[in-house]
Amino acid sequence: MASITYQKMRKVYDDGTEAIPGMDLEVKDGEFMVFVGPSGCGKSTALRMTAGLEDISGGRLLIGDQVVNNKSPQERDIAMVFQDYALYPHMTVGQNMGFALKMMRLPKEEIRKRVAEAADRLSLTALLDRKPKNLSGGQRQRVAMGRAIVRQPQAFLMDEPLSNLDAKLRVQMRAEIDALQHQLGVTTLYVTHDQTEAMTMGDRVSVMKNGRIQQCAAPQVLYDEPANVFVAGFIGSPKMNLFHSILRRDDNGGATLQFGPKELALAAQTIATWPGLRAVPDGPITVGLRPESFRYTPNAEPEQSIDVEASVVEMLGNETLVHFVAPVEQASDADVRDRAQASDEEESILVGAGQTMMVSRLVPPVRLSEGDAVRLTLDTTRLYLFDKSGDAIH
Amino acid sequence: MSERTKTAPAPLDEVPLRRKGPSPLKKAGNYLVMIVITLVFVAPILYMVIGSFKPSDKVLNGLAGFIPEDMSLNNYTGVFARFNSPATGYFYNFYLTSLIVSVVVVVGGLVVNSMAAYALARLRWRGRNGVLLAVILLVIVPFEAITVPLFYLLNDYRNTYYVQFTPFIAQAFSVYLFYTFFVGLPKQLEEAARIDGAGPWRTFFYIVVPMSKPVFASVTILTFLSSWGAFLWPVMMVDQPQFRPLPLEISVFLGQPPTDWGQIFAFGVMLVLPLLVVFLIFQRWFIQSVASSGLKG
Repeated sequence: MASITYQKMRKVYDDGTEAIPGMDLEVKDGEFMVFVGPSGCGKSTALRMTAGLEDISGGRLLIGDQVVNNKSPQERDIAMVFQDYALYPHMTVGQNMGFALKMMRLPKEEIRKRVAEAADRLSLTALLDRKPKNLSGGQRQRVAMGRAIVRQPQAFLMDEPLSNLDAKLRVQMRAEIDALQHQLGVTTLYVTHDQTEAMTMGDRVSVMKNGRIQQCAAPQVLYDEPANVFVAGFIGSPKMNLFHSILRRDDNGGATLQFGPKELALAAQTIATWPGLRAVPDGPITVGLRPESFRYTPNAEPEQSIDVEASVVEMLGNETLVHFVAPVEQASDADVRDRAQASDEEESILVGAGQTMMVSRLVPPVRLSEGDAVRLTLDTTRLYLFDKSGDAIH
Repeated sequence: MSERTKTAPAPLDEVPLRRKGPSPLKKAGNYLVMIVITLVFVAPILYMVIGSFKPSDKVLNGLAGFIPEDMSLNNYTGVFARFNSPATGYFYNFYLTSLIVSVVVVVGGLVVNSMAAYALARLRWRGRNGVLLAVILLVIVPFEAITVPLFYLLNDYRNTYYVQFTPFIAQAFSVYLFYTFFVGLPKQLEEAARIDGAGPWRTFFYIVVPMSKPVFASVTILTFLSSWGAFLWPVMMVDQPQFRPLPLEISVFLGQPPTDWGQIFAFGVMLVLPLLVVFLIFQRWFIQSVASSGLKG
């Protein structure tokens, strides 16, 4: 087991494309670190550089206290689980798992023992003589894990290992990988584009965009205290509602935020929770609102609430998601747009200029239909504020 | 019965399941065409095999040549008896020459060409694109175009096995076949092998080769076919009977009076037999390779 340290690690391709401009991060010994981000954000490149499958153009990469920039994958003593499992099709499960040990020229008896132990741990003992083509997706995934653990490496590197599984199996394997990592205590780097996977598995999560780490923190911290508009929009499902507003302070220490024709009142105590806001002048500001910050309040006073028309209603059993068009301008921060493009989300066709499609999560669930008039109250103490550059105001 | 019942659709289990396809007449036509084409291909081989068992005077007999009559192994024993002296050469010697040359060309070719192709497909080295272009250009150069320079290069080695296999081990066409197959293999498997501690050699032999049976089978069949039937080069380089391969000897045999067609056909059957054996052994992977290359376009 060892720590992994990135010191200004860079990747520039032959054609001059800079995939990673300079990465600084320390993954602690035994930590489960997740790299998450949209396609092309550099997360897989960083992982492949760690594995030794991609050259490092600059900076340093340390595994333990050794600089491994020029070491071969084998010398780095890491194991990797690939997206498509990369099981050798002509070898049995046992041979697949023992291949790395064979390459290390370990005695046959030792190989047999280690493979048997790993197979037992992963419930693969009955499948040891099967070829990969005769295994289900989940079993293949387990074999790929087994191949990694028999080596007893310094670190596990996992490149979207669950993306080929169906939703149910993915949830199950997520738990299994998480449990296995904690049992073994091996430093793990895990790449995914699925923020739910990142949030549920990682001790810490690095949110990446354009080759840069936007924020690296524990999952709950990312959710509660996103560092910028990008992280705020990326973490959370359904995603945070982001819109442009106007901040106006009053003489009592409070302030208002424009929400279409309405003004959302912020009490002085609420304003005090953002010391950083003092440096921000009155005027345009980006506001974030989690879907769960809305409450369904049909009997509330009109001035304390907003009236919307439900465009889409999703009854999920334990909660109801209500999508509605809000009379505010969607935050058009480049970060937010990048994210929308990268994750293939298309701009909603239901909204026009000066409007934003918002989503509210109503718990307990409410029976509603599309087209219903809905009165919602906003919890202004749970707002997120971002300055002009998209950085969070704390 | 009401109007409604009359127009109601029939229950599913009563609806006859008709498979859309060609009409019986069209089907029969298709079969006829296929049978004719098959006969065109098979007829000469059948004619040769039947003729090899018939007395010489009944072999070249028009369509009657297809009728098996007075069948015996006399032609075969006759061939062995005819080639049984130092002057004529020994039949087993022709076989041995063809076998040695073909096996060395096939085995050597598989090793050399597959490794060259792997280096072109996967390893990064200076000049790789230039070499690849040269290989592709060499594919279109016919062997006949380089026979004269080769003749002068290897003139000192006439009447040896060496001269018969050396020019044919490295084959641009085989390299190209291997190359196209290797570039289509998923890179992740080789990357997994690298992570597992295998260098390029071990990755090649432990991972790439076992996954490439179809292309190895194809190259084996194609190389064996051309090597076993090689004629022009042996004509130029071999004149001693003990180093003559089978195709050269059969042409010598044809030119020696009296022409015994029964024995010539028997010789022909024995010439073709190893090709059939090799094809039968490797055809499963060969067909797989042709099929998959078709799918990939």
